Amino acid sequence: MKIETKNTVAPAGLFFSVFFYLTAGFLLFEIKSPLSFLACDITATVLFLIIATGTRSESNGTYDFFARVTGDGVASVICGLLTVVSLIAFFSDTHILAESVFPYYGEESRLIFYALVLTAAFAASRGLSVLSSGAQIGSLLLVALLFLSFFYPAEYSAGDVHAGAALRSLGGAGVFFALAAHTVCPGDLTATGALNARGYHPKNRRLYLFGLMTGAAFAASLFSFLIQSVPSFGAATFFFLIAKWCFGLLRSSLSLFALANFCFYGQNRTSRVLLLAVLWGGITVLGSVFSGQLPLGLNGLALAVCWNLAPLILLAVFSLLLGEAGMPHKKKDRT
Amino acid sequence: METYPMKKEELASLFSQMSDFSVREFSLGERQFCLFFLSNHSSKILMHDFILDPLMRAYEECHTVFPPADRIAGTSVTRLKNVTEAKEAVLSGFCVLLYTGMEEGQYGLSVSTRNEEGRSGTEPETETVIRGAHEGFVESAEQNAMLLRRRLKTEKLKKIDLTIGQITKTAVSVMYLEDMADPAILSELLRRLRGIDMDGILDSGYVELCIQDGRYAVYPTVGNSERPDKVAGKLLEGRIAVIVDGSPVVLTVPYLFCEAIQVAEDYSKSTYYATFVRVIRFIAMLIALYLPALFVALTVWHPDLLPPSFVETLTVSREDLPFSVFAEVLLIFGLFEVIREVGLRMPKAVGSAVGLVGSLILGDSAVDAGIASPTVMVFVALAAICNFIVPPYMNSNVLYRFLMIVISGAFGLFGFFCALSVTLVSLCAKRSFGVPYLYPLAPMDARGLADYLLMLPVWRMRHAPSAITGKDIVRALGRRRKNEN
Repeated sequence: MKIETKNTVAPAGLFFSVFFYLTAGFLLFEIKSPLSFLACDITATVLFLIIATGTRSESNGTYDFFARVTGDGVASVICGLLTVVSLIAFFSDTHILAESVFPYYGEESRLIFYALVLTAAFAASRGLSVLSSGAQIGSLLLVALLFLSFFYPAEYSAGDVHAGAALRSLGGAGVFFALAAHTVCPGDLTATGALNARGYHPKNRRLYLFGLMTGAAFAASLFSFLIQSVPSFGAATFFFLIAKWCFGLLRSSLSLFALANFCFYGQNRTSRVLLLAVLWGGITVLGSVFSGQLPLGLNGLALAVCWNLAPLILLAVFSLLLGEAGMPHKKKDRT
Repeated sequence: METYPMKKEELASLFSQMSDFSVREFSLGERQFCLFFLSNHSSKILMHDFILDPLMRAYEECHTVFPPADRIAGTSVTRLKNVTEAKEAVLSGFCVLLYTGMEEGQYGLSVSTRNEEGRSGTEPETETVIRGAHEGFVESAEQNAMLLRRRLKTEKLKKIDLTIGQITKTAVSVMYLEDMADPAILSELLRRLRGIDMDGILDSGYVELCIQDGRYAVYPTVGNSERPDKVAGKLLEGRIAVIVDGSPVVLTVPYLFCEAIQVAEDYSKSTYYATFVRVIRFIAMLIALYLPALFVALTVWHPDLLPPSFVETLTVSREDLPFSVFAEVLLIFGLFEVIREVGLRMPKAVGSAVGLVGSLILGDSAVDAGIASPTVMVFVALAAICNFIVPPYMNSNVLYRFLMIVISGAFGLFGFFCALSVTLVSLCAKRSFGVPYLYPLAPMDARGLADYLLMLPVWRMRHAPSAITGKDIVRALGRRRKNEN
């Protein structure tokens, strides 16, 4: 009743989603240099370009939006590009996240990777509003981490330049677009009474969104700068571990949502399953290549099928979950 | 056209084999009267004062034919049109009066003589306060509605009456403040209430389970309270109350997660202390939920993340114990729940003794006998005590805690983290009558946060929660300055 679609994001949700998406990147890829600001700058540029295209509050898919602005052909190309970028970002993030878990569990890397993929798919399937809510709850953990950082002041060092970090932030273009496209500001036609009542009514919507997202990017950079000096000891290690995993999973889920939003909106069930099969195939092959376990070349087709039996079962669950993410909200009829 | 004997027989036949159904016939001159009522459900004193005595006096004064309807002294006299209305009236505790020479198209008269005697509104044991009203709801729905009206003296306090339960025909009242409550939530609530198709509604708990969001939800999405001041406060925030006849517990919707850490007494305290205790409650709830699971995950799977001195102490305290830490924690929690359940079901005096014996003697003996280690006992006891700090979630937390312990024991910190993520996602997706369950934290609302973990003084809480009311309502302008009127 209050939030009509399951993919609606309020401005606060947008801020925290961007903040934690970038913070997770800084933590996962261990970007400790203040020059990570560079990454933020590039992110800000990307955001500006996105918002400059005239993003409006849309509850429908990205393809529809681009089709209206640029025509069908260009829309397909843009969506295809964003899909590839999001797929790579998703795989890369989840793979790094899984790698940060491996040391605590030995060699069962595939299982952890699949568990993370499924958890991310479950989260993404619940919709963007749930993901942004999760990001807002993350602020509680933020307080604990900031509290720890007070005891260990950060030291400035104009050290190495993280060109890789800058490139990785480009991978988030799809996520930023999806977030901006689904944000509903007070005063928008689709804004609910509750949102209109509680929020600041921006005069210039584009500038407002741009300010929010760049503000979040710089806040994330500042935050990671503050907490970088906290040494590894019992409680701090634990907090950082949980923060890295939680924020990392949120990052993966956002990438996955963006992926689903670009691909599946408005598609029928057959198309969704086919697309998912292709995507899943891409993910498993990439996963196998990166972890040096490409089963097809090493053990033959039969073994590969057996080896991938668990992933095949997971594929079904994954398809069901992810298929929901691109779907508009279905109001459940409850009596 | 039905005659007096036909009506009498028809109505009496509906209540056959009901020993508490009574019929009193009498004549005044040529006119015959018949009174139908349920013993004890209708007050005999009221029947005498409202019906019998005025009719006798009228007959003595007039000695002729007089209109009985004009002579009856009751405050609520209704003209019944058919036998169904007459039946409903009798079942509701009213008296139905039939007499000869009744006006055409009229079946009889119903007079409100319901026996409203019940227990007085004592302070509820489950929600005691040091500072605040020591008054609680009772079993009568009418009296409960009156308790709310006494606090909210406005014509905007509306009341809608429903009857639910095919056999019990339980009276259910919906009360809300017009202009404050969201009409969409009200219509959704009424839809869900009217959709209840059950034989019996014996307590408000039945209604709560029928109208909650999610048929098999673990955490409640419908609030309840026995305190009129608390429910009045919720109505002022735009919530809607559901009063069920026969139950001293009044339901409120929508119910949000933050309400569990709010206590009526907080609003009468210093804002600093109120904030402090709310933070304490929140941390205690986290400890109750996650400390045992984290303890199991870290000690079983990741001892390297714990301080070495603690690991050493734990190892020494667990020497020669027959169970693993995982099994030990589950066992002690299981025992604790048994003792708690026994303490609740026994009479008060015995119950406290059982709790004392269970917690002190059994616990101490278990350590002495080498069944449990003192370190584990400390963690389990701390988590168990902390669980009592948020009564609305007490039972749900027990189940969730067990689940977290099992997952953490089986999969370690990664399992704990995955379960936590799924829980958070589920909570974020949860709604109570369309309002996000985690509001005002997610979606974040700065105004709503004024009454969450950090609490501003009541005079600074100027706006009603917008997610509940659906609009911006200024409910207080704060303290006036000296030069203001």
